[in-house]
Formats: sequence, C-alpha cells, structure tokens
Amino acid sequence: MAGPSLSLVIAAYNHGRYLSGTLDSALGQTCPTEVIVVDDGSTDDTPAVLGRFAGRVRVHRQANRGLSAARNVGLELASGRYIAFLDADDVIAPTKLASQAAVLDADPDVGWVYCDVLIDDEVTGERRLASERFRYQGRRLDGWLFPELVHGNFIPVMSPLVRREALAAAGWFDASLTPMEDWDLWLRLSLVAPARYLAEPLATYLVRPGGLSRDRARMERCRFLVLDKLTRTQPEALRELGARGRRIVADMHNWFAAEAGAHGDWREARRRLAASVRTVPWQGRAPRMLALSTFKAWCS
Amino acid sequence: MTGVSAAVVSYNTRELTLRCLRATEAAASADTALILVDNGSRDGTVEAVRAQCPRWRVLVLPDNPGYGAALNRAFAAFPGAFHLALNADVFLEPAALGTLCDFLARTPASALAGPALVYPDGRPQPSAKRLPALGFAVAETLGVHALAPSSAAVRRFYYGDRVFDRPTAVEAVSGAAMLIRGDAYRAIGGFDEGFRMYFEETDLCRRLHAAGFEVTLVPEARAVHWHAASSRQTTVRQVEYYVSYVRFLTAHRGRAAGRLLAGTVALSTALRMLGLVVKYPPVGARRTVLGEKLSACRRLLAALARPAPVRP
Repeated sequence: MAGPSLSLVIAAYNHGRYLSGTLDSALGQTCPTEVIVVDDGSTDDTPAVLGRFAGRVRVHRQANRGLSAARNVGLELASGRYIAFLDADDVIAPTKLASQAAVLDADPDVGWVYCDVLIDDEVTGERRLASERFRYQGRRLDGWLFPELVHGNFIPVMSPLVRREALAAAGWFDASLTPMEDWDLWLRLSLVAPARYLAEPLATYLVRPGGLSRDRARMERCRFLVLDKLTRTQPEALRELGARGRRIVADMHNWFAAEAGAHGDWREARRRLAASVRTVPWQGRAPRMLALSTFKAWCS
Repeated sequence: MTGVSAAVVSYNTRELTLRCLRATEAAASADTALILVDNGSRDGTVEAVRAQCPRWRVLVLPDNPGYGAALNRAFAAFPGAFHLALNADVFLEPAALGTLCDFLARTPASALAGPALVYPDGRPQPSAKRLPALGFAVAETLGVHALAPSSAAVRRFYYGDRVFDRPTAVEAVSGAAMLIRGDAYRAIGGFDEGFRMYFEETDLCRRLHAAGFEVTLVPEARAVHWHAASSRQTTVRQVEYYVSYVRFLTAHRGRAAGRLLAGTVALSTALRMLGLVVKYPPVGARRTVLGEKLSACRRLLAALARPAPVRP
C-alpha cells in the first residue's frame, strides 16, 4: 500500500510550550506515520515551533474554531487507513501506534484499539493510570463497548487507534458537546465497530491547571447533553439495554427537569418529567415532581 | 471564534449540488469551512463531490434526519463566527457571502441575514415572509390561498407590498439561503430537530426574535434559487408540510392555535381522501396509486393525533 497507513491528528491551540515534546513523540514512532497538525489560530509561538518541524509534519493553519473542529479538519486531511488523535500537550510511547496497528492488521473485525494511559495531573502532582482511575478491572473492555461506555467515558482521546471506515461511519466530533466530545464520538463508534483493549500504558495525558475538564458543573451538564443527544439519535441502542437504559434516560430527563425548575421554566420541567415517568413509571420523586411542575406550569 | 462555516444539504440532486458547491466556493474566502451534508443520496452525489470538489468536507447521514438536524450536525462539527446554510439548489453570486458577512459584522442587532433570491431567468423570488398567524394558516389549509394566489393577504405575507432596496428587518427569510450569527445560533440551541422538513427556518427566525435579535433581508446580496428542484410537491411531502405547520403554530401561537389548525388539516384531509377515491376509482392499476395516497393521508391524520412536544 502506498504512503503510511497511519495518521496522527494533532490539534494545537496556544500549546507552543508543550508542542515540541508532543511532536517528538509523534515523529519517534517505530512505524511510518503521517503527522497532521491543525493549528487552530494560535497566537503564541506555535507557528515558530511548527516551523522547526517543517517538512516532517503536515501543517494546516486555520482561523480559531475550537478543538473539535480542528480535529475534524485533521480527520478530513488524514490519508491513513488507521487514525489516532493527540492533543498538543500529550505524549505517546514510540511503540504505541505500531502495537495498535498490529491488532487492527490481525483482526479485520476490530474497528478500534485503545490502550492504558498515564494521567499526569500537573496541579495535584498525582500520576495514575486510566485503568486505576476508571476501574478497568470490573469492566468489559473488549468487543461492543456501548453497554460499558454509556455509563461514562473511560477512554482518553489520545488512547484509541481507529480504522478509517469505522470513523467515517461514526461521524465527526461534535463541538457543541465540548469537553465531552470524545465520549460522544466513542459512543457512536461503539455502535458501529467492536473494540480491543491493550493493557499497556502507551500514552501520557497531561491534566493542566485551568483545563476544561476541571469545571465540574459544566462537565455534569455536558454529560447529560451527551445522553440527551443519545436518547434522540440512538433510541434503539438504549432500548436494548433494558431497565438499565431506561434508568439512564429517566435520570437524564430528571436532571434537565431540575435545571429547568431552578430557572423557573416549569413547562420544560413538566415536559422532562413527563418523559421521565413515561420511561420509568415507578420511581421515587419524579411522579410527585411531575404533579408539582404541572401545577406550577399551569399557574405561570 | 472566527471564520465562516458554510453547509449545503443535499439529497439526490447531484448536478445541481456540484454547481451549488462551485458557486459557494467561489463566493467563499480561503478560511471558510465548506461542508456538504448528504442525506443518503443514491445518485452518486457523495462520490462526485469527493472527486471534483476537494475543498469540501462531506458528512453522510444515511438516516436522513432532516434539514435542520443536518445543519446542526455540520455546525457542531465546524462551528464558526457565522454559519451559512444553503439548499443544494441555490447558487450564490460571487460577492453575496462577503456582503452578508459584512452586514452581520457591522449590525450586532441582527442575527440572521438572507440574500435576495431570483429565479434562473432573473425574475425576483419571494425572499422574505411573515410568521404565519392562525387565520392565515387555516385559510391556506382550506385552499383559500390556492384559489386566490394574488390576494392581498398572500402578497402581504411574502412582503409583496414592499420593495427592498436596502437591508430591511423582516419576520423571516427563505430557508434556502441564510447567514446566521454563530453565537446567537448556539445561544438558542440551533435548529429544532423536531421539524423534519419545512418551517425549521421560520421557527429559527421566531426563536431569534424571541431572544431579542433581528432578522434581515439584505438585497445587495443575491443568489439564484432553482425553486423546488429538490422538493417536488408529492402527497408524502404534503404530510411533512402540514405536520411541521402544526408544530410551528403550536410553538408560535400556543397549544390551542395548534389544535385548531390540526383540526382544520384533519378535516381537509378527510375531504381530500373522499376526493381521491372519486378521482382514482379503485380499479386496475389505479388501485396502487390510490392506496399510496390514502396511506399518506392516514399517516398525516395519525401524526396530527399525537403531536410531539415543542420548544417554547
């Protein structure tokens, strides 16, 4: 096959300080890899750093549109059969892509391979493996991941290597779900292709101060936005989970009902609670809250 | 966030789509994100675009989720300061996109700008419309407007009583071509995906007004619109049209108005079913034609009986 069969998509926005370490690790792979950097309108020394790597990486510079859009652009530019993502402050082990590609080469039914990741928290100084932090022992890590993933993301964005066809079937990153756009994409991927887990820490994920993943309230809201989208776009997949799926959907509606109620939007609260009670009729507070919100909506 | 994201939605209109993409590309600048969303065309649109229009990123949605949902996904993947939404049968004039962008950039009160649309032979096309009120919708459903297409009410509805020679605030613009301010679009949560076809743009304009923005027709920007090239008026499409109409009116004028329109649509549909039996007597080959049309009518009645909840 002509050209490298591996593409690595790196989205960079004002990460000049970290970028050369990331690029060194990307270019140090033991197998030929096409490295694509999408500079999302950086205003720091990112272009200068990229200049030092000229000729060895493909650079696409664009007006600032956000991380997801930058990754989507990279995805479109990538020519490899297998594609991986990297953020401009993460590093990967030299054998990461080769080991993962070997799995995809060996088994054409596997759509994506992910690995363990060392999560390096710059603020707390804590270094933990993703397998510890997300309790991989109790999980089903191979095969169709949807029933496992639906409870929450346990795969950092730099972890998987994905077959191009699987990505094409799953679609792009959805920027309206930042910072959980990776979870949203993995959920879609988990419905089109089975996955395989490699129990080796092959990447380091740097958690920096002020990063998006720190904002608790926003993360929680985003989590429910992802589930709301899932309820709208993949109702059958959730239905197949049976009572567990219904519970997830009902909890999601209850959360949005509480949010709407807090803003005094009783019509929306009533709509959400009605949907919740339709999904799971026997639950603690939702039926009472439905009666209350119907009354409040009627009064307002 | 900077830059323009342009999204074209296509469905089985390959040649028109290719012309549309070339015209859009010519009107776009170098950093415009160009996205084609294809709702599962079976005429080779996707392959032709990949081969002939390399700047365009293609998103295939085989489940055909509708026009608004297709645009939402494109703009979620490539958000920008301005979002251009185009039907595949609209050809922008080269300066049109720049004109619309300049207008929104210097007019913070306006969140959405539409160009003046013309037919391929240069005749002007209605490019702006009002938000339909209950009486207008009921009259349309009962066929009053079809009987008197040049009545004062219809003319007023499409701003036929006005000459647009400068940017003018209107109630809604045609959904065929719109430039939407990205922040405002995100603030109101994008298109309501409950509309599968028709009225999604009217509803967007309505919610932009509710959020305190203006909607503007900018006649200096022009585009050719091959009206109805991708939407032949079949019985099936009429089902979509009326379901959306009721949904829109419920959101716009309240539940009672929605119910009243639904009742009127149901009544006229029942009459229509009677008429269909007379027009296509169930003998020979006509039986299948009649069956298809009647089942579309039944679907419409079923959809009217259980309306989906709407966004306020």
